[in-house]
Amino acid sequence: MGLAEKFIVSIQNTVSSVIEKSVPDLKVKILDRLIVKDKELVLNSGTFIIIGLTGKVKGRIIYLLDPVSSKMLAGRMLMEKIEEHNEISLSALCELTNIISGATISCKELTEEKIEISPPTLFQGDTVSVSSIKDEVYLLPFEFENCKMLIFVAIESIME
Amino acid sequence: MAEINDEKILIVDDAMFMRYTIKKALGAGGYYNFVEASDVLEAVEHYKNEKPDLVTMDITMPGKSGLDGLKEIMEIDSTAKIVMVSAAGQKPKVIEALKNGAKHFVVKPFKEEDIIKIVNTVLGKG
Repeated sequence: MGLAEKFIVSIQNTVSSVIEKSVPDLKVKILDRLIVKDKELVLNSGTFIIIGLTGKVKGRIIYLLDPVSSKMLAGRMLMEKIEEHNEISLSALCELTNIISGATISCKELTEEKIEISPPTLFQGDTVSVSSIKDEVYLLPFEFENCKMLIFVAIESIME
Repeated sequence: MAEINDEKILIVDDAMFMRYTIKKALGAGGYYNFVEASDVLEAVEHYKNEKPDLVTMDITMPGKSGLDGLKEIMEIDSTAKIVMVSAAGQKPKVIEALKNGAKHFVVKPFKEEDIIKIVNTVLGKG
């Protein structure tokens, strides 16, 4: 299995295990992945969290949650209903993506590969476009309680 | 209902959500006396002024790391009780922290009962 494939499989497995540990009683369903190449992706409104990848795998991970899903997930983490995002609910989402990304690069399949992550950067907006001209972009969808999270993994290069 | 514990705890983490989560978890364990810091500079100032009984210290923070914070606090007070808060895969940093005087560590995401048990242990409450 190539390193890109190992990374994708690891992140898929890690997302479920981290979310299920962080949010009791929340079951995560891994949906079929897609590969998107040489395209511009236009994302609808929501919360976007970007984490850079450096070291042996260079690229970025973009976590996308629509407004309903992001409030639902943050609310479950905080154990309260979130009507509108505030500093702490957004911090919860950032921390979740930080833990997922950190756990992914530390899993036993990748731990020898020397991959590092940047701190998360959060954006909120109505429309975001992501260009995937050079990168091979994997789109990993996840479902939980009628909500969705999309993870885009854009791999720019792998040092062999 | 948890016994009331009046030890002062300094929570050091750049993520507001983690400071909230640790306070909530330790609150369930009867702790209520908290001071918060979002970086090492603030943490060291608070340590000098507030003299907490225990510190929880995130390992990865922008600027000075939790390891730097640990070392600076240990220089002020070699008896400081510091629990490192680590993400998965930070074993080398955790080991270094323990070698530099940290008393224990907890890995995120953690259960409430795990951090309560660790804090109770470090404070000598069994």
